[in-house]
Amino acid sequence: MKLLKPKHILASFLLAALSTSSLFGVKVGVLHSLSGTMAISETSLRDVVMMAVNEINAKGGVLGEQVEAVVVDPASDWPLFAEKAKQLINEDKVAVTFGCWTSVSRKSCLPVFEENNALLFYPVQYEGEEQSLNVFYTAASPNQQLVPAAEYMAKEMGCKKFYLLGTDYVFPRTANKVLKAYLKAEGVPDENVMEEYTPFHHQDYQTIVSKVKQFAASGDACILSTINGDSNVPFYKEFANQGLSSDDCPIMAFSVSEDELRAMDVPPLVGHLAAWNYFQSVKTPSNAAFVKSFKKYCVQAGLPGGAKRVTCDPIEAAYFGVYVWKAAVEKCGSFDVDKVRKAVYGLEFDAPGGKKRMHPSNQHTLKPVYIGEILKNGQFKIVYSSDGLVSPDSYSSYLWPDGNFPKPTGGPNGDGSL
Amino acid sequence: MGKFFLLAVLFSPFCLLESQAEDENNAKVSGNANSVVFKENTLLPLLLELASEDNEKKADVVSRLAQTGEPRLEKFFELYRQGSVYNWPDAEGNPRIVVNEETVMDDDFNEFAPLLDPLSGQPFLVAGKQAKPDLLDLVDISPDRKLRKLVNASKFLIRLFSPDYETRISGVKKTGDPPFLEDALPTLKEIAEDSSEDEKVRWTARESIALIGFGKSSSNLEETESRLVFLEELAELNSLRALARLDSFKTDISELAQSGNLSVSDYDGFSGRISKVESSLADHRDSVELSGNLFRGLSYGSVLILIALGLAVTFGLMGVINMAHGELVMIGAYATYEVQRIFGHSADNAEDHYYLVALPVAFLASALVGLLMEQFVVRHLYNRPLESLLATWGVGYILIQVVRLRYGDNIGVNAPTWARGGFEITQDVVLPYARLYLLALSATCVAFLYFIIRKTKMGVLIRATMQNRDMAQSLGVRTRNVDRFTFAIGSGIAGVAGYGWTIVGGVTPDMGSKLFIVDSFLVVVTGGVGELVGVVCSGLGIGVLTKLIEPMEFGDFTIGPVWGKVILLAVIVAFIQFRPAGLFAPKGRLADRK
Amino acid sequence: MNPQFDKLVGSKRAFFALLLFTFVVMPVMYSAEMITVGQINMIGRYMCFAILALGLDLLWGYVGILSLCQFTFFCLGGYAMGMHLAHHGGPEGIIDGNGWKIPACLFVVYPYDVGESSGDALVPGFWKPFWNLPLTVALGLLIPGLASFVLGYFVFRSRVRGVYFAILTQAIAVASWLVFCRNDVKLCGTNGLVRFDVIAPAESLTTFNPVDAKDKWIESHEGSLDQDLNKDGKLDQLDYSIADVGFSLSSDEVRFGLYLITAACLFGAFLLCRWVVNSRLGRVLLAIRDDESTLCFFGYKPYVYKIFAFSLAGILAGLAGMLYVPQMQIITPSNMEAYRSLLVVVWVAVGGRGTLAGAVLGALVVNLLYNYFTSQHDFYFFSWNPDYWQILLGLMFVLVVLYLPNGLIGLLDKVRGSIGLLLRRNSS
Repeated sequence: MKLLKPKHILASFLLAALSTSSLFGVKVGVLHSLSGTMAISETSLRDVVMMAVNEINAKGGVLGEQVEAVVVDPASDWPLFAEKAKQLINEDKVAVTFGCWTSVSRKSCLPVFEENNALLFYPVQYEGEEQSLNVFYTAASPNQQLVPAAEYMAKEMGCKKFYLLGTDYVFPRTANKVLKAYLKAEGVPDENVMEEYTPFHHQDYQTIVSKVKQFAASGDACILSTINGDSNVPFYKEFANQGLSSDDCPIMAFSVSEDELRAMDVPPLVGHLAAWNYFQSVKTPSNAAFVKSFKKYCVQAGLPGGAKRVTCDPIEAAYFGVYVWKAAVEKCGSFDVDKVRKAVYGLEFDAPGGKKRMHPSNQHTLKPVYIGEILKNGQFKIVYSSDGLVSPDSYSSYLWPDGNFPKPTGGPNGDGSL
Repeated sequence: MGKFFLLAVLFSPFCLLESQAEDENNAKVSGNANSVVFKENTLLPLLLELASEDNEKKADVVSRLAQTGEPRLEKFFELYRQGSVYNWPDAEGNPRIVVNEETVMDDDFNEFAPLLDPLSGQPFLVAGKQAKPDLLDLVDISPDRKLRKLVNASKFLIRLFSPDYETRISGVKKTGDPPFLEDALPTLKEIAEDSSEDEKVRWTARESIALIGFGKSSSNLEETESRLVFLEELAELNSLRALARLDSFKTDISELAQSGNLSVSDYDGFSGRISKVESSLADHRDSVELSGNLFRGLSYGSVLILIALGLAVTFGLMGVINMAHGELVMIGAYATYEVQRIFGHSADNAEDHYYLVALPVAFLASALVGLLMEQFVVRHLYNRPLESLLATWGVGYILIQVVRLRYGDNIGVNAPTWARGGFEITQDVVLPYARLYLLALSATCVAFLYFIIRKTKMGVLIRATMQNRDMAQSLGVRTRNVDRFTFAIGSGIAGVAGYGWTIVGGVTPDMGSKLFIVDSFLVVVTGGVGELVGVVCSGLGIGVLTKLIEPMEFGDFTIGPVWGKVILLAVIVAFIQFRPAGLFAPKGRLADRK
Repeated sequence: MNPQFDKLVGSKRAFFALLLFTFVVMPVMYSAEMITVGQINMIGRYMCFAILALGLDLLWGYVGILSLCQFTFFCLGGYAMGMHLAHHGGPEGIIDGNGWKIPACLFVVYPYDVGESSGDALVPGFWKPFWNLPLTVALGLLIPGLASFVLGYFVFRSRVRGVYFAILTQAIAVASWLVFCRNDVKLCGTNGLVRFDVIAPAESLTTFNPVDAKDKWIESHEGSLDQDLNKDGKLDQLDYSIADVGFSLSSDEVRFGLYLITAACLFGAFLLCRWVVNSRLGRVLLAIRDDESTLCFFGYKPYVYKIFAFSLAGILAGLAGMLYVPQMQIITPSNMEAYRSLLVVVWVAVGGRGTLAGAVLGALVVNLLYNYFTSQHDFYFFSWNPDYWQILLGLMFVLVVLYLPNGLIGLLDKVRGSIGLLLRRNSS
C-alpha cells in the first residue's frame, strides 16, 4: 500500500523524464504548439525546423556533430511554454531552441531563457518593444512591415481613409499605434482613421463589414487588417458576400500569409494585399529549391496537406533561423551560447528569399519588404519590393520619439550587458 | 456613340492624377479614331511596344490601347497593372508579349509558368502546345507607379463597355469614385438614358455622374453652387456614397469661407442646404441600418439555432451533457470537406453539386460518430448526467486530435459558387445568399425535428422513453433502440450545422470547443431544457439582441462585439434569475429531473 | 455520505506520512540535488491547482453544485498578486505624471487614444492598492470571496440549480475572459501581467511612496534637472532600486520558500475543508446534495449554506491564484478560458469526487501526466510523439468515468481491499 503513495507516482514520473536524454550529438529544442488553438499556425514551423535539421544532418551535421531535435508540445498553453522551455534547457540540455508564435508565449518563457542564459530563435513578425539578449528575432519588427504597407496604400492606391481592424491583442494594438502615428504624420485627419478590435476567434463579422461598407462608400478607403488566425476566414467571406471587392475597398493584411490562404475560398479575395518579408512567389533560384524541398518533405513525411503545403514568411524565418544558428556555431567553433550570440551579430547569410543580414546589435534581422496581391491560386503576386534590406527597430521610433528607449535585458550577466 | 465621345477626351483625367506636364505629351489623343477597326493584327503590334524601356512610349501605347474601347482589354489592363504581363523573347530576341498569372508545379515540384495569350486569354501555343517556360526566362515589364495609375483608370473606363453585367456595373460605379474619371461622363450619360439597360446600372450611372460633378474641387461661389446642386441630386437618389463624401465637402467650403472666397451669408446658406441633405441621407442610412441589423440578427440567430438544435436533442431531451457536441459539428464540417475533395470542387473548378451530396453525408457521418459514442460511452451514463460531461469531454479531446493528425489544421472548404455575393432586396440592403441559405437550412432542420418528434411513431416512443423510461420499458418499448436513435438524430443535426457553417466560417479541428459549445448550451438553457420552441425563440432572441446591441454608439464609445457579448451574457444571467428554468420551463414530471 | 470518505488520507498515519514527505523528504531530496528547483517549483504550482480543486470538490462533491467558473476566481486572486509583482518588476522605470512607476507590461500595451503619446500614460487608480503586499493579499482573498458571494447570493436565492447553475457560471467565465482580454480595461490584455522581478513583503505605502521618491530624486538631482526631465517635463527614470526592497523571484531560495508556503497552504486548506465537511455544517451540505426539497421542509434555508460553500471555494481559488502567480511569473486571461474551469472538474473526477484527498490527488496526477506526455519520449520499443497527448488524456477521462466512478481514490481503496483480503487468506 505504501508503494502507491501519490508522491511516489509523481517521483517516478520525474525520474522517467530525467532518464530520456541521450548522450551523443547536439540537441536543439523545438517549442511549437502541436495542439490547441495555435496548432493551426505552429505545426508548420515544427515541420520546417525538422526539415532544416534533417538537411543539416544529411550534410554532416554541425561541427561534425549530428543534430537531434527535441520536440515538445506546449499545447497553446502559455504557462506550459515556460515549463517546456525549462525542461529543454535543464533536462535535455539543448544548445538552442527554435520556437514560439504568439507574443504572450514568448513573454511567458522569456524569463526562463534569461535566467539560464539560453538562446531562442523567434520566427514570427511581432510588435517589437522588446530586446532580449537571449532571443534572436528572425521575422519582422513593425517598421519592416507596417509603415511600408501603409505608405503603399496611401501613395500607390490613393487611399484617403483607413479602417484599422484587428484582433484585440498586443500586436494589433501596437501596430495600430505605429500606423496611427504614421498616418498623422502624413496629414490624414483623425476622422478618416477608424480603429476597431474583435476578440480572438471572433466569427460573426456581419456588423463590422456593414460598417466598413458605409465607411468605404466614398471609394477611397482601405482596411489595414491585423486580424489574426481563424477569424480571417469568416471576415473575408462576409466581406465578399456583402458585395465588397478589392476594387471598392482593398484590404492590406499583416497576418494573412499563403498558409492561411489555404483555408480560404480565394476567388473573391483576388486583389487584396498582404505585406511580408517573404512570399513563396519570390523569384530566386534558392527559393525555388526551398519550396521544392519543403513540398517534398511534406509528402515524404506524410504530413497533412502533403503536396498542397505552401511556404510563407514565418516558415522561411523559422527555416533560416536554424541555418543562422549553424553558421554562427561554425563561425565561432563552439556551441557556447555567449560565443554563438557574438557570432550571430552582423552575420550575413543566404535565406530562401535572398541574402539577409543579422543586425550588429539589436537581435533582429535586416530584411526586404514585399507587398503582394492575392492571386486566384492562393499565391501572392509581388507588386512592391523595397530597395534592398530594411534595418529593424527593436523599439519603434514612433513610440520612442527621443530614441531613449530601454536597455536590452538578459544576457550572460542577466542585466542586458554583454 | 458614347464610346467615341469618350475616346476624344479620354486622357485628360491623368492630368488630374499627375500634375507633371509631361503627361500631357503622353496623352495625345487623335479624335478620329472611330474609323479604326480593331483586330488582333492592330492590337498586337501595339502590345509589343510595351516591351520597350521607354516610359513615355509605353504610356502612349496604353492610351492608344484604351482608345480602342475593346472589352477584352479590360482583363489585359488588370493583368498588366498587376505585373502579370511578361516579355518572352523568342530565339532571335524578338519580343513576345505573354501573360502568366499563376505558376504550376510538376510532380517533382519544379515550377513552370504556363503562358496565356494576352488578348484571348487562351493558352499561348508554341508548336501546338501551351508554352510553359521556367519563370526565370520571362522578362518582367511591369509598369511603374505613374503608368500603373493610368492603366488602372483605363481598366475602369473599358469596363463600361463590357457585355458582362457584373463587370459593367463595377465600371459604372468605380468611374464615380475618386479620382473621378470625367471622361467617362458621356458614356455614363448614355448608359443612364439607355432604356434597354438594366435599371440598377442606369441608377448607378446617374449616381456616378452626380458624384463626379460633386467631386470637383471648388474655388469660388459658382463652382460650389454647382457642387451643391449635384449633392442635392444625390440626396434624391439616397446615395450613401455621397454621405461618405459629405465631410470632405464641408471641410472644403469652410476653408473657402475662411480664405474669404465665400461670403458669410453664402456660407450659412450652403450649410443649411448641406445639413438638410445630410439629414435626409442619414435617415436613409438609419433605415438601411435598421433593416440590415434585423436581418443580421436573424441570420446570426439562425446559426445559433442550427448549432444548438442537436444539443437540444442530446441534452434537452436525453439529459446527456454532451461536451462533444461541438466536435460533432466539426465532424459534419470535415465530412463536407471530404465530399468536396472527392468531387474535385475547388476555387477554379466549380462542382457545385457537391454541396447537395454533402448534406446527407454530413448528417450520416456525425450520426455514425454519435451512434458509436452512445454505444461505448454515453449508454453507461444515462443516470449520471454530470459524469456524462466528463466522458464526452474526453471523447471530444480524442476527436479533435484524431482529425488534426489526419487532416491538419488548414483546410479550405470552398463554398459553392452560388453562395457568393448577395441579393439586393431594397436599395443598399444586401442579403448574402450564404446567410439566406443558412436561414432556410435552419428552418428546415427545426421542421424536420418537429416532424420526427411530434408526428411519427418513433417520436411518440422517444417522448415516452424520455418522460418515463421504466414505464415505457414495461409497456414494451425497446428503450435501447430509442436511445440509440435519438442520440444519432441529435448528433446528425449537429453534423448538418457543421455542413452549413462551412459557407460562412472556417473549419479547424477545435472549432467545436472554441466556438460552439458554450453558445449552444446557453441557447438551450435560455430556451428551457427539453423544448424545441424554446431553442428557436432563444436562438433568434439572442441573435437579434446581439446584432442590435453591437453597433450602438455612445459618444466616442462603440459597444462592438466584445462588450456586446459581455452585455448579452449579463442579460442572460439576469434572465435566468427570473426564469431559473428558462424561457419555456418544463412542467410536470420533467421539472423534477435534475 | 461517501463510503470512501477520506479513508485513505483520513487515517492519521497516511496523513502524517504525506506531511513528512512534503516537508522533509522533498526538501532533503532537493538539498541532495536529486530533484531540481525547477521540479520543486512545478510541484508547488500543481499544489496551487490542488487547492483550487479542493474548493471545487467541496462544492461539487459535497453540496452537489457544479461551478464552471472556478478559474475565474483563481485569476482574480492571481491578477491581484500579479499587479503587486508587476508594480515592483521590470527595469523600465517609466513614471507617469503623478510620479507612479508604470509597470513595464502595462506600458507596452497602454491603450492610448488618437493623438496621445507615451507621455500621457497614467497608472490607473485601481492598480495602486496593490503596491503593498499585505493589502494585496487581503484584496486577493477578498475580491474573489466577494465576487463569489455576490454571485451566489443572487443565483442561489432565485433557486437556480443543477445544470442551469453550471451553464450560468460558464457564461460568467466566458464574459470575464472577454473582459480581461480587452486592452482598454488596462489589465494588459491577452499578454497578461509579466516582467516580475521581486516580491516585496517589507514594502508598504508607509516605507516607500513613489511620489516622495520622485521629490527626493528631484532634490538630490538639483541643478542637473533640466536634462533629466523629458520633453513632457517628466522623469524618465525613477530611482527605485528593486534589489533593496524584496526577494528576487528567480532565486532558488525564494522558489523553495514559495513551495513550502504553498504546501503549508494546501495542508491548511485541506484541514479546513475537512473540518467543514466533518462538522454539523458539513452534514447539512451533504443533505443539500442528496435531497434539497426535504431539507427545506425541516426549516433550513439551503441557499445560506450554498452561498457559504460557494464563497469558501471562491476564497480558496483566490488563494491558489495568489500562490500560483509568483511561481509561474506570468498570469494571462487564457487562465480563465471556459475550458480551464472544466479541467478542474476533470481533476476532481479523476481523483475521486466527494473525497478531499481525491481532489488533491487528481489535480497533481492529471497535471503531471499532462506535463509528461506533452514531451517527446523514446521508450525501448516506440517513441512517444507529443502530438498524441490529447488522445491519451481524453481516453483516460473516458475510462475513469466508465470504470472508476470513484476515481483514483476508489481504485486505491479497491487495491488495498484486495491486497488485505489476499494477505488474510495467505495467513489463514
